[in-house]
Amino acid sequence: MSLQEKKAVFSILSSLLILGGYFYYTFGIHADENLPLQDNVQFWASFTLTMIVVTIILKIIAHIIFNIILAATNEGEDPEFMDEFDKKIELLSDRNGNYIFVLGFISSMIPVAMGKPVYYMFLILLIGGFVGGTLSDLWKIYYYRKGV
Amino acid sequence: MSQQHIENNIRTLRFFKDELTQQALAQAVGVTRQTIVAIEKGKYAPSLELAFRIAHYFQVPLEEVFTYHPALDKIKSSKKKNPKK
Repeated sequence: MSLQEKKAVFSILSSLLILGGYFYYTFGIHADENLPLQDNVQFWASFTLTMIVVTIILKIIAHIIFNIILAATNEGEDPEFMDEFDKKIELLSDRNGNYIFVLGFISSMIPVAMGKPVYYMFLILLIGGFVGGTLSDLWKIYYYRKGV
Repeated sequence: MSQQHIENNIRTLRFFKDELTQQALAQAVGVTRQTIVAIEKGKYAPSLELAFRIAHYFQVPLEEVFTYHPALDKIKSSKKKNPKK
């Protein structure tokens, strides 16, 4: 597995762990406080904003740990370096991931239009963002293996 | 997604340059080893700039590194419905 593929796999795993952990923290450990608020728009807005900040901070920490591990294994390649092949693959996979997110965004409007509770909208939005990001990384692995 | 219409002789050129490694070539032309692997396998057609850099590194004309086969090229030509003559 190449360095670029390892980066994509690590990104998928870290996203899964961070989001899973955050959801477990909010709706598992603090379920008594948060579950009654699931119809409250203010709760979902603060939940989403906090999740974005937490995800960014933890992703940076995970990124640093990943780079330390790479330096320790002594692969001799700069993990931050991107050439034209990497940039083309990133553009293609990000485009595909963004299509999924837009699909999720449009789908999130459907339950609101049907008069369903507001948490459906936020959940579909969050799932759309997560699936879009994960598929974007999976497409990276696919493009690295199959070529562009 | 292989680029069958663009062949390359990078593997041969590396062989005649004292079995130059992919990593050494990648460093010399400013790309990752993965990119050299993809080009050699025909999975990626490099930019003109990178193609020239590779040719320059081996001190050969571009045509000796890359060969274009028009018959295999599935080019999408734009068709005009009512071409004016």
